[in-house]
Amino acid sequence: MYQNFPPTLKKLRVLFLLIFFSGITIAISAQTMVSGRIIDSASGQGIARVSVVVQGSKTGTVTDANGNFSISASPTQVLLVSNLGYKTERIPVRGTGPINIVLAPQISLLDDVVVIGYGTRQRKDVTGAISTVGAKDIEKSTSMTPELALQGRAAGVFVSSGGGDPQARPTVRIRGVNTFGFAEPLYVIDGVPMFEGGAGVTGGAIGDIRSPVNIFSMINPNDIESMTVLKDASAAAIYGVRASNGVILITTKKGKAGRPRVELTSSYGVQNITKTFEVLNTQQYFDLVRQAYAANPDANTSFDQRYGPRYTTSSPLYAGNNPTYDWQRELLNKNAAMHDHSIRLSGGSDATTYYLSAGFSKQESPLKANNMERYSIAANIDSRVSKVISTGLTLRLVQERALVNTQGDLPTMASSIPFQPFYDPNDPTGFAPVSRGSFVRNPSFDPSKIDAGPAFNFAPNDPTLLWGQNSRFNVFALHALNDNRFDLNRVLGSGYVQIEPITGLRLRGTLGGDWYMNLRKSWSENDNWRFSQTPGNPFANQNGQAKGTLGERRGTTYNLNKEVTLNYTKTFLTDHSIDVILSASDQFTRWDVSDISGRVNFTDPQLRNITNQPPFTQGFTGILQEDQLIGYMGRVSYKFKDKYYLDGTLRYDGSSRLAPGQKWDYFPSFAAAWRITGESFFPKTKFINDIKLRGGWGRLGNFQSAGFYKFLSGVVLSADYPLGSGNGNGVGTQVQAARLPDFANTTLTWEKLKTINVAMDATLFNNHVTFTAEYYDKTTFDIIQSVALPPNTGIQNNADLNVATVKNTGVEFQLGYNNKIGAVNFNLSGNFTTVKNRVVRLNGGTPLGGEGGRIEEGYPLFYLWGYKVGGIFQNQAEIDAWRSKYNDASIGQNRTGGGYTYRPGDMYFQDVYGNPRDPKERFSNTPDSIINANDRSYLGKSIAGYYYGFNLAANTKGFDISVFFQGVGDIQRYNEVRAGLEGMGGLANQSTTVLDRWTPTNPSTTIPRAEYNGRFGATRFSDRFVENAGYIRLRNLQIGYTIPASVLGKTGVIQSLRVYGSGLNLFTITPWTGLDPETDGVPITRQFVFGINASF
Amino acid sequence: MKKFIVRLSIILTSVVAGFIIHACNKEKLNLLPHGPTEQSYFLEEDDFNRATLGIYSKLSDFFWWNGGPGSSPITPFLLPGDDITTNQSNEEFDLFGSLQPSNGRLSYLYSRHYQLINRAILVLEKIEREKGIYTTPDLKNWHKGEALFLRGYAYYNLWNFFGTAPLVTERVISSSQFTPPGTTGTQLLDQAIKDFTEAATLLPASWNVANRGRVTANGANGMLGKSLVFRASANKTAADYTAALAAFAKITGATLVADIDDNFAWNTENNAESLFEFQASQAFGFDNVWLDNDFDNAVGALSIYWGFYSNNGNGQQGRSPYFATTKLLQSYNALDPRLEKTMNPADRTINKYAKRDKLSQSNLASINNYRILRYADVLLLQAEATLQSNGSTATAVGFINQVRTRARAMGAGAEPANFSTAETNRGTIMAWIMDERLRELAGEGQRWFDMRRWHLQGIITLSNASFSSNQASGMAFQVPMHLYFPIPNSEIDVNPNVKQNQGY
Repeated sequence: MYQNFPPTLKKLRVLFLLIFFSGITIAISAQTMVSGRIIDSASGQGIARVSVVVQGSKTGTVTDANGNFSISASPTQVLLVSNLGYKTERIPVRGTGPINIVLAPQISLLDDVVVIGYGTRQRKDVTGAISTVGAKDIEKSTSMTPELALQGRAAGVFVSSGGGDPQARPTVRIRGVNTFGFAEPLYVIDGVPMFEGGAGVTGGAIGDIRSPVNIFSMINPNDIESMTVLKDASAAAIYGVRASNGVILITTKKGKAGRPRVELTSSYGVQNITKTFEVLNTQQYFDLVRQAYAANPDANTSFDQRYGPRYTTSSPLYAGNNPTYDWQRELLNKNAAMHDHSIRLSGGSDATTYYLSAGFSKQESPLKANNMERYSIAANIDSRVSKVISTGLTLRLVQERALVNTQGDLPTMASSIPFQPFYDPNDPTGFAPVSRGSFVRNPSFDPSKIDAGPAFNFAPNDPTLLWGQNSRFNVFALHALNDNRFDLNRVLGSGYVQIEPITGLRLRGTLGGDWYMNLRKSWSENDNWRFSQTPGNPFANQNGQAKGTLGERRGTTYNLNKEVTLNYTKTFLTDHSIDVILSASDQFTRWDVSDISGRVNFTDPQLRNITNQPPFTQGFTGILQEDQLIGYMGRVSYKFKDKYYLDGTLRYDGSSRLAPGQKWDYFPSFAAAWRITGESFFPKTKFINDIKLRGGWGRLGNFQSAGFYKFLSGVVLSADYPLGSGNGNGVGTQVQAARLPDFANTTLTWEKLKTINVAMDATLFNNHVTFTAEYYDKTTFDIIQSVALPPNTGIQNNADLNVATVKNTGVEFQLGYNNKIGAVNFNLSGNFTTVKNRVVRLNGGTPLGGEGGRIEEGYPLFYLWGYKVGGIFQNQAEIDAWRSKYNDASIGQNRTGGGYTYRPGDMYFQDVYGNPRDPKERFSNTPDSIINANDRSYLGKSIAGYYYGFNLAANTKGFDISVFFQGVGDIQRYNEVRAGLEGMGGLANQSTTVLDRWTPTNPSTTIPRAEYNGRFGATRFSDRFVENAGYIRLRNLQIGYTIPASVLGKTGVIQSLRVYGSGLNLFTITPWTGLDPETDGVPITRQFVFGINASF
Repeated sequence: MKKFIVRLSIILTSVVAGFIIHACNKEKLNLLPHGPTEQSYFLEEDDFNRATLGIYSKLSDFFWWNGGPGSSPITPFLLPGDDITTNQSNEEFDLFGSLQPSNGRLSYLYSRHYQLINRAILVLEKIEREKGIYTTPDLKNWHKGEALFLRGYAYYNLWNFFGTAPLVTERVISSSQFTPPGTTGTQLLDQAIKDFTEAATLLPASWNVANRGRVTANGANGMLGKSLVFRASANKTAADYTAALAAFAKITGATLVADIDDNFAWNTENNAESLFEFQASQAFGFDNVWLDNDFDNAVGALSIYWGFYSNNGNGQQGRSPYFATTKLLQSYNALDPRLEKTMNPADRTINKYAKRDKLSQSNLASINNYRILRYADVLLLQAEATLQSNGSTATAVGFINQVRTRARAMGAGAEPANFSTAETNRGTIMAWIMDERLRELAGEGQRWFDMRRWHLQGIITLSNASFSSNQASGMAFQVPMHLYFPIPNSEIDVNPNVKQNQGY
């Protein structure tokens, strides 16, 4: 909202503008004192902390605990009274008597000021597609990271929690999935575009160095005022080449003029995993593996010989009579604590406002040996230095510590053999060992060589596994013997100077930066090998005295953003308003790493340091990623009478990632809106209060989908070949070799997105109902894919190619309802988004990706692709009938009856397609009676077809309640854990569902018979394990009570006080058979949280 | 005050203007990586040397443990023939039935062979274009010879495993080269022969001690002759036998070592009988058998996996070992000293490579070199080439007898006795050669290639072959389907120009 000032005030022209936050302009005046009281229209009670400002001046104050205020103003002036959640009132001063002002809760959101990129705007004036979540909803999330507050709250924004692990990264996808490359939205915190080294990468060396800790957890959600999601090109084009996956603008809290205000929020909660996998007990387990082996024994090998003494009934070591150990329950960290405390101080004078906050938060994982804690400090100051110059600074310092030492998740624990114990009082460590062995001195040990060899070797025939072939590492011992933790330190801030030489023309220079260091310390004790099922020689690469290995890895991220904006706003001829922004920006980011590891001669954590002991200390450093972006942007907005709107944006971006000649591109967008209710012909009724139609078109880019220097061919010196062995020397000398693993693509261009957005915003039924419907159509083209080139090329590294087109279309609905019945205020809000995702074009039409995430023209991205189960043979007659028609080539059968011979209880698969009949076909649509790889077909989609959230809230007499549901539908997932727990092909423990397996006396139709090494291939990727992963979840139920001001008033200190209790994830309705439809590894937890919010 | 503001405005405006000019500096976008690139490499001899060794380093991928006995690519070399079998159920390289284009081990072997070829082509291209960087006499030729030899070896393997895989001899620099057609007949073998032929003219007779293990002219002539014999089998062309004999004749200085076991021992690598070996070792940091050679210098696998023979408990993870077939056991005269060098006759467990093995620090993989070509193999191939090219039967038998003589000398003296040089029935002598190859080269990863080519030649038939498998009932070998292993899905799925082999 940009105002033009009447000529009488020209002398007192605007001096101060909070562009990013309130947009409220203040002018100076000094007249008589006016006092009054502000009351809530519903409760009749005074409202504390309401901002009262003399319109057009810089004079402002806030009400006290009882709603009283006094301010100096002249009778000709107007008081602007505003408070979050209430309608803003403009009250003329007129006389000198007390003014009582009744504020009604805000029903229409049209006057809300929302953050858009490079500015703010009243909601009624918005032309693009944006969603906003405010502090009130953000506070309700218990997550240490802010993204989860968007889940179910913002239309068009799909958020999948990473589960119950406090470090987990939620997945955020805006309006479908645009690409199979980099799909993360751009985050902009107070105007600084964020950069994370290795963003979007979870595998390989980059994914490892990036660390599992979500860097957005370093932003204290309590400091956030709002999060705005820019969803279409007309809203996001100002971020050009970075914006195609959507932009999330995070605006942090700022001070307001007035006396100092102290706010305290504090909560404590516990969380628990409510469900574990049901697995077999020892007896059931032995029955199963015996039966499975009997069905398909190795030639000339008995069960006992095959599996050894633990499985041999006659052996003294036989484990079949052991008790059952529940590995999963043992790993649970019951009633994992969650603390969150923060204190905020804000206030200011006419010229300067400030905001200071400090926070502490700590969450334990629902699994053992994992937690995260965060200390954060934020400071913000905005100051008007003189009439034309203003400046501001925001700075946050964060320290975050994470212990990531769980070493396993629930599916891993579930498949552990049930007879293997975790504790053993006879072992010095107290834990039950997994391997045993003794050592002999290695005579050829020579520490003067680079390859010193181990000081000791395992004795012949050692080590041995104590619990048989499927011994599982003892995760609980590893908790004690290993230590893996992260320390993250961050400084994030920005400062600006703004000059406004003439009214409405503002030139602003901004410098923003982010620096964080992520230190991983990983310790593993030599004794480790005894608790591992793959025991390595602990004396390898050390002098024989060391007790363990310590590694320290530092990843440092550096992000410097420089920007100049020139903004001019003017209203002329009364009804015409323009708003022009020109901007130039320059961002440089770098991510580097240093890593060192060495042997430590002590186990005492106090003494764990890496010392220089050649050749047993190793390390490296390097710059992993570097980016330079330069962008120029212009935006022109025109508005006529709040009725017609036009916006045009053009951004010209250059990035260092591509080849010379390909570095620069344009990103234009246009949007228009029409307030139909503003037309004189539109009848004024109580039912239709406001209707606005809007639409936009634009183009965006995705520079992060391109890898670094993909236009160059790199030389890697990490291959080796040993030479010179012979004459008694078996090792030779290792020589460093070189390899050139890249395909240099000099014609690579940006991945781009075109969007069309059409929408209607309506306010209906006497302002009780707000409704928005939007249709979006997004086409991503020139998608850069990191392609594993056909193996014949011999090119090792994936190459980046512009290969594909993907389309996302859908609709979004948002509905709000506000009303008051008796003394009760009701508020309902909900949103619903649909996504239809299609791959339109691929390079050569050739599908990509495997069974768990197939990419093929005409299908949604990452669809599930596999075989379809035919059924389970119940008798020989069924087998004969089937075999007379079909043969399953994937298990070696041929037409003449050769290959594997079915038995009753075997699972068979459907003949869906046929082999190609000519070289142009990949497969034939006509079945050919042969079951083979060509019979794999569409089994489900992994991108949700729709998702939604709705919130019901009510308050009366100080009590408030809100119920928040969130859900996802039309989505399938491959239940990988169940596939592992129902395979019955080996020694891993299995789900209790296999008790219902087919046997002659139990003719199951869902679970085949048990067979070691399952020759009939029942565990192939098939619809057997594809499940509906839709769900609806009671995400949050919160009940609060606000202590009446009349009571607090007596304390003289506390201005407001609210206590609340929340239950999160109280129930989930889902057909998913695993632990949770979002993730089975560390599933989402049920939480109970109690908290207090107070202000002083 | 006003003056001050004006002044400050001017200062700020110039700062801002300065910044805009700064931002306009488009040169800033020309960031370059902090590691070497192709443009900044190949500037000195050592760069070429490293790139050449980079081709060799790919050999690690053919024979290593690869994270588990079920994924070790050495299995397709060792198991398919009739010399070795296993009790492991569903082992497709023993039973063939479930050998599918989705097979992980084949797919892995396939892609790693082409990676080796890619590295060789790159070195050849760089050598072709270099001017004046090489100063050491002959080194340029040697590197070129090594690159050619290794590419030839890769094509030799690809022909033997897959038969019809694509032939790539140019560097892939454009997406139009991603989908070459498959080959027919012996095109892959033809390329191998071409490469070996040229390599043989370029390579040195020997290397100094520090470079021992690199391929020599003997190695190239040996593989050239061997490939020619293979092509002669497949195409039934007598001229190739003659050419093979000419190549073998160029081998100088190679002899049979006194103890055959020295060919399978970690401490007698690169001996006088050896023509080419994969140099297994361990990385100086740790032989991390879950990470390939390319991973890192300090850690990564430079080793080979012999656990299928030694039945090393850690590595095998409960899988059945590979052991001798009863056919192999019965092929030996009980007094043949090679019997116990090859296996323990009591339980048919393999002694070759396993008995004088040495594990790396990993305690599961080994540093014991894989002998890709040794002189005894060459002698038997000479016998075969002589016989098949209508040469002197006595000469042919003489070659066999050289091998038998060495074997006999290891024991008390009577067995294996020399074959009669008076024998003139070529069929009989061919049978001797085939049986001698089984006995001499058993378990060395040669048998399947031999059987396959003899079948193509029509000397033997593999129709309904059971390969003396220990799991005869599960045997599902089909002809001609299994003579050609399936082209992996990883290629078929993305390359429409390659045709899948018949039957898959």
